[in-house]
Amino acid sequence: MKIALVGNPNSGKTSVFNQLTGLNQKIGNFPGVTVDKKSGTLKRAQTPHEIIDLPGIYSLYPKTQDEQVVYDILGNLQHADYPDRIVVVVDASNLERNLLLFTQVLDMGVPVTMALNMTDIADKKGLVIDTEKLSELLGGVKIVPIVARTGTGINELVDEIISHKPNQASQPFLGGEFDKGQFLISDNIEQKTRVEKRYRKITQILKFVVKQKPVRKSIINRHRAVDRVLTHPVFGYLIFLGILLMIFQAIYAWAEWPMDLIDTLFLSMSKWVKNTLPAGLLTNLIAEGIVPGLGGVVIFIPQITLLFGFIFILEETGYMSRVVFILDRFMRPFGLNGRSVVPLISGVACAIPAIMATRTIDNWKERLITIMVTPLMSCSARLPVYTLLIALVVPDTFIGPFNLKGLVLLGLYLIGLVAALLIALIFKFFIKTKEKSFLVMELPLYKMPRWNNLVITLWEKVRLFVFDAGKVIFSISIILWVLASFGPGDRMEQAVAAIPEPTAEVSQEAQEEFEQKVASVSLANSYIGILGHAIEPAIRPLGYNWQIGIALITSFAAREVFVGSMATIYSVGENFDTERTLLERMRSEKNSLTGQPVYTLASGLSLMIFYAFAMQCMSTLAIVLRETKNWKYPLIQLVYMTGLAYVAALITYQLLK
Amino acid sequence: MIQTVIVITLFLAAASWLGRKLYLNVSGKKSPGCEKCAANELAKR
Repeated sequence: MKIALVGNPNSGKTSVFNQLTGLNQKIGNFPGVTVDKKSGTLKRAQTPHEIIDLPGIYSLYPKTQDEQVVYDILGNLQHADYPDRIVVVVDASNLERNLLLFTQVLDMGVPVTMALNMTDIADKKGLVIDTEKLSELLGGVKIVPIVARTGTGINELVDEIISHKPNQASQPFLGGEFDKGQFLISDNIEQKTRVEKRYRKITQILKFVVKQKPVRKSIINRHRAVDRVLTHPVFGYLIFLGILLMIFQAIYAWAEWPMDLIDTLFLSMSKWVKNTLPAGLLTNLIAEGIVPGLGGVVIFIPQITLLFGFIFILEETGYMSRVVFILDRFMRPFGLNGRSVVPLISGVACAIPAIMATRTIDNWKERLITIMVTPLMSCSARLPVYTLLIALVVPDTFIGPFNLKGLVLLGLYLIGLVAALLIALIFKFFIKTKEKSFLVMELPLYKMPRWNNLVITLWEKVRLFVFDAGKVIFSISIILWVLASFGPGDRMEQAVAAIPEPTAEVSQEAQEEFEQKVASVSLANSYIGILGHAIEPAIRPLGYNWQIGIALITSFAAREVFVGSMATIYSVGENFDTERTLLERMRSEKNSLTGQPVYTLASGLSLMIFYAFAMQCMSTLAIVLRETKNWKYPLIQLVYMTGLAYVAALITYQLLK
Repeated sequence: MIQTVIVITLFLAAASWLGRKLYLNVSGKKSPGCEKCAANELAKR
């Protein structure tokens, strides 16, 4: 049995979905359309009940692509995801607006249940809702009051769903708009007239159903007082900057010891594999390729978890809506309207959902500019690259109470935002528009985050990061190791034979030095070494050696591959008995021409700047192509971002060296 | 010998899996992996 969850944005639909399904969730695609299907199995049900979470919409008449997805499913009886029952999540504190969608769904003729959510917030606002009367006026439809954040009423909602009662209104609310699942009205003006007619009827109903009792003004006043500070034209920005500062300081301070632990653990695993399994190619592949490569993914779980955790808390408390509000004012001079703010902020997590979120921008040219600049925001895949390089080249000192490493990390995120704004300004001159867009948004009341939702969200994010990035990095580690362990003909053997062997009575240090030289010469003459040397002239002005060049090539399709690639490159031929972590191995890397360390402040910052601007994400290019339906835009994006990255990295290195 | 065969098999499997993934992404025949998180983000809106 298929049950669709429908509701307005911010009606708490995702919380209801999480409560109904727990961790029994899976994510796939709706047939025939690009994405947007999140489904799960209903908890407690004896027979399988598939819950499908549809995108949040305001009306069944499609104005945005999200609404189109819902329209296409609910307006087609033959659609593979057409539901047997619909649960409409209605925000009790915004009943009038939410009832528009509910009454439209009601008229479709599918069994429907109203999950009247956020009754606690309605109560705080002094709204008393007579649910029995509301049910009666809507033709006898079942209404279940719930508070999805706390789980109140969820059991009753599940009972209602599995009861399989018909739950259909005795008569249509308006009539004449839907017939057997088909939408009958496609004309915009007629749709508008219908919506106005619905609202008139809803207003009449609400007069009988909702009573306003005197509220403690102090609650509302308290929220307003906080808003006056958080959205203040000066303090609002300072507070936002302060919060970002704390987040990046915390990411560094709290993630350090678990990262060290994971690094040591994977080093021990490599050592164990090398010493335990029978000597041979496969053992070397596991110890030098696969284990270090996977370690390069797992080591960043603490930081990714912290980053997503903080983003979740900012969203759940309602603060993120205030950030969108204050940034709207800030971004307008750069040609980005308020609706661009949500995609840009989402870009800090991942550019792909951010680019898809631009579907809410009606004006095509503004949408295009937002799509073009969103990948400049530093996404979570850049975080592993930044943290590795910061740990390598930035001194562990404090400026006042702030750790310099945390400040550099914050600077990299801000530089992405500044670049996005400046590039948007340039695009504004090429892509002209006469239409004006406005941001209309609700500022939700502040609330405490739900910690079980935090756990589910973090688990999902980390799982996706580890498994999606892990599969790619696992494959690349194997390919890299093979290319780093073999060379054309007997080139590697000849190069190694040219190194003078130490005499029998040399010290252990000299013996280790000889072994390292052999490993280094072998790597330089391997397939990957030859490829790396071929591109070295192009990247030398940026301060990079050929090993970095290899990591640049492998991370071209997905930037998170960088660390795994470095881990594999610096593990080939490594004697794990010396117990040097990846950072220690990279720190000791010397330039073959000058004898100076490869990873200095100049080359490290240059590399970070390169990663901040370069378009190294095949998935983002694919989604840009799909959203713009034109090869021109991903190509322009690839060229301008790579060019910007190269020039910015060149300037950084040449100024600092 | 057996280790060499396994390594060659793994190498070929990894190369063909990556190649196929790249082709499907670029040709638009399959969603990029990250769209999974995109569905979550959109569901929130």
